[in-house]
Amino acid sequence: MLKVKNSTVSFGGKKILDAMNLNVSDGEVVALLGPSGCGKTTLLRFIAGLEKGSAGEVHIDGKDVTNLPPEKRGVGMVFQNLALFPHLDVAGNLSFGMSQPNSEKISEMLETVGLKDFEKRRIDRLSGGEGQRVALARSLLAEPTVLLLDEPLASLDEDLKTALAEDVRKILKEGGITAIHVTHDRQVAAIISDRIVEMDAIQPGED
Amino acid sequence: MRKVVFHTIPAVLVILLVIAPFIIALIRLSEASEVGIFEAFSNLDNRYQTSGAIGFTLKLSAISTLATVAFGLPLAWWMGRYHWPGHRLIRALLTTPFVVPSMVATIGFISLLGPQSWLSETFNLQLWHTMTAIVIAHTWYNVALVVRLVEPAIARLDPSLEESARLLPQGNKAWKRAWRLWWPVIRLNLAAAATLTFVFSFTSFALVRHLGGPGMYNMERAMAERPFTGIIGVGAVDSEIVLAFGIIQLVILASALWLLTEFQRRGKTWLPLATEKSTRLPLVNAQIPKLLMSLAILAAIAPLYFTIIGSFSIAGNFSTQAWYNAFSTNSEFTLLQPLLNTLRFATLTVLIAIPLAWLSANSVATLEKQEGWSSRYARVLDVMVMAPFALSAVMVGYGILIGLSHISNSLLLVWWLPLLAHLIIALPFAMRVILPAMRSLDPSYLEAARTLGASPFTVLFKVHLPLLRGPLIVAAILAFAVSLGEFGATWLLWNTPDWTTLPVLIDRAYSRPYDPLARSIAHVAASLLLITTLTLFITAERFRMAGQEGEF
Repeated sequence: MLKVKNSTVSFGGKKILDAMNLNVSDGEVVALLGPSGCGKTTLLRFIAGLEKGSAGEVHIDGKDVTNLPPEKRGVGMVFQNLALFPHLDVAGNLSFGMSQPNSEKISEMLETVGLKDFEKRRIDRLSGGEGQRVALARSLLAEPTVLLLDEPLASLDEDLKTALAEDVRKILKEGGITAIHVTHDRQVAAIISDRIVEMDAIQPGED
Repeated sequence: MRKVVFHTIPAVLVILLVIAPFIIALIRLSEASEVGIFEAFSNLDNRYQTSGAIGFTLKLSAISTLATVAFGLPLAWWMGRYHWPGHRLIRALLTTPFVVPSMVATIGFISLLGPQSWLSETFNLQLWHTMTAIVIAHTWYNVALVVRLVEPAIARLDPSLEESARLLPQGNKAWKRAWRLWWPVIRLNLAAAATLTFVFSFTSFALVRHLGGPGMYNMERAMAERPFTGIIGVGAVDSEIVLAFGIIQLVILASALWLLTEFQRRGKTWLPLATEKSTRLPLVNAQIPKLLMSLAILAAIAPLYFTIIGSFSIAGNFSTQAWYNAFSTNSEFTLLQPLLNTLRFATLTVLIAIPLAWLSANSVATLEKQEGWSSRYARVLDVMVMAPFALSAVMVGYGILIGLSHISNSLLLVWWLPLLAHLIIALPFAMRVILPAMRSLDPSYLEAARTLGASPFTVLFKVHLPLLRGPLIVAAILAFAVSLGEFGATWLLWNTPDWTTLPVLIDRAYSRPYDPLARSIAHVAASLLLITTLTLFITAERFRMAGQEGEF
C-alpha cells in the first residue's frame, strides 16, 4: 500500500505539486495521466525520494519513508530515458539492483521479458523496445515494494508501444506488483492500468 | 547537514591551498616594499631592472599573437577545408608543440637558432638573443592552439550553408562568402585562440630567459629574478617590483580569462553542425597549401628533432657519453635523482589534484542546478578553482614562498613545497576536463542506481567513476604532464637538490656555457621529458569523449 499525503513540491517559488494526495493499493497498477508539465514526473520523483518536498509524507506499507534516502525506500523506478548503465552489459545492469547477484534469476527474468540469451549484449546494441524491457527487468529484479514507471514507452512507435504495454501489464499483474505508470498517452494508460488517475483532476484534499 | 559539510570541503581546501597563500604574499610584499602601492607602480619605469618591462611584455605578447594568428589561420583553414592523406597524423604533428614543456622548447630553439646551430651557420641568421627568436618560439607553440580551436569550426559546418550561400547574391563570390559566412563561423574560436596565445606569451619565462639573453626582461622574468623578494629590510626594492608587476599581471590575466570565457560562451554551437567526414573537400591541385603545409610540419618538429639529436653530440661530435653520464651515479649531472623527483612530484600531483578536482567539480555541477545560495556558492567555487589560471607560474611560486614563510620559515624547507606549486597549477587543468564531463552526464544514471538500492558509496564506485573514466584519465594525464614540465614556480622555489626536477636541471646545465657535457646532458633530460610527454598525450587522445576535440 502506497500513500502520498498532502505533498507539496516547488521549484523556484512555483508549486509543481500542491497538497497532493494519492493512494495505491497492494498489487494495483495505477496510470497517472495528464499533459506535460502537470507534475506527473515530479510526483514519481518525490515518491522515490529524488525530489524533496516542502510539505507532505510518503508511506509505503504503513511505514513513513519521507525522510529516507532513495536507496532505502524499497521503490523501483523505470526512467523515461531508461538510464541503462552504458559501461555494463545487460547482465551487469540486471544484477546491479540484486542484493545477491544470481545468474539463474537473471536468465529467468530475461525470459520473462522476452529477451532470452541477452546477458552479454552491450547496452548500445539494444533496440528501443529491447532497452525498455531491460530497464523493466532491472527494476523488477531489485524486488521493489512499489514500481514507478516514468513514460518508459514514450519514444516507441505506435505498434510497438501497444504490444509492449500489454506485455508490461502482464508482467506486473503476474508478479502482483504495485505500480504507478506515468503517461500522457490515454491508450497506453488504458492498456496498462487497473485505474486511471487524471493528474490535473487531483485537487488538494482529495483522496 | 552532512551535505553542507561535504560541499564545503573543496572550497576550504582551495582557499587554504590557492587563495590564502597568495593574499598573505601580497600583504607581506607591501610590508616589505616600504613604499605605497602607487609609488611602486610609478617607480617601475625609473629603475634600471624594470624600466621598459611593461612595454616590452605587451609588445612581445601582441606581436607573438599576431604572428600566431597569421601563421595558424591558413593552416587551420586548410586542415578544416581539405581532406589530407594521413589527416590525424598531420593534426597530431601540428598540435604537438602545444604540449611540449617550456624548458624542452627552449632547448629546441637554442639548438635551432643559437650560435653554431645548423640554421645560423647555413643561412647566416643572427637571431640569438633577439626578440624575433622569442616571437618565433611563441608562434611555434601557439599555432597549435589556433589549429586546435579553429579547425573543428571549419570542418563541422553543415555544407548546405555554403551551398545555399553560393546561390545567393551576397555569397556568389569567394570573398563574399569568406566575409559573410566563414568569418562569423570562426571569429569567436579565433578570438579565443588569440586570447590564450596572448596569455601564454605574456607569462613566458623559460623562453625569454634563455632566448632573450642577458638584457631582455619581460615582467615574468623581471619578477622571477629578484632574489630578496619578501624579505623585510634587504628586499625593499625587489618586493616593490614584484608587488607592482604581480598586480598588473593579475589584472591583465584576469581580464583576458574573462574575455576567453565570454568568447567560449557566445561561441557555443549556434551553428548547424555536420560530421567532419562529410564536409572536407578532396585535395586536388592545391599545390601552395601542400607546400606550405609540408613546411609547417617540418617547422613543428624541427626543434624537437634538434633536441634529441643534441643529446648524441658533445661539442659538435657524435657521442653517447651524455646518455651514459646521465644514468651513472657518480657524474655531477646525473639524471637519476632529478628523474625520480620529477616522477614523484608528478605522481603526487595526480593523486591529490584529481580527487580535489572531482570533489570541486561534483559540488559545482550539483549545486549550480539548485536555487539561491547553492548556485551562487557553486559559481564562486568554480571561479576559485580556476583562479590559478590568472596567476603566472612565478606568481604561484611567490605566493607559496612568501605566504608560507610568513607562517614559519621552517616551512620553506619542507619536501612538499614544490608539490604545492604543481598542485595549484595542475588543479584548474584537471577541473576544466572533469567539470564539463560531469555537467554533461545524465543525472538519471545516478538516480537509477539509487532507486536500485545502491548506497552513495556504491553509486560513486560502480556508476559515477566508471562513467567518467575517460575524462578522469585525460585529467590525470594532463595533471601529470603539467607537473612534469613545470618550470617557473619550481625554479623559483628551488632550495635543495632534492627538489631538482628535470626542467630545473636543464636550466642549470644550460647556464654553464663552458661545460659541453652538461649541455648534452640537458638534451638528454629534455629528450626524456619530450618522449614521456608525447607518449602521455597520445594516450590521452584515445580517452577523449566525442565532442571534446576542441578543448585542451
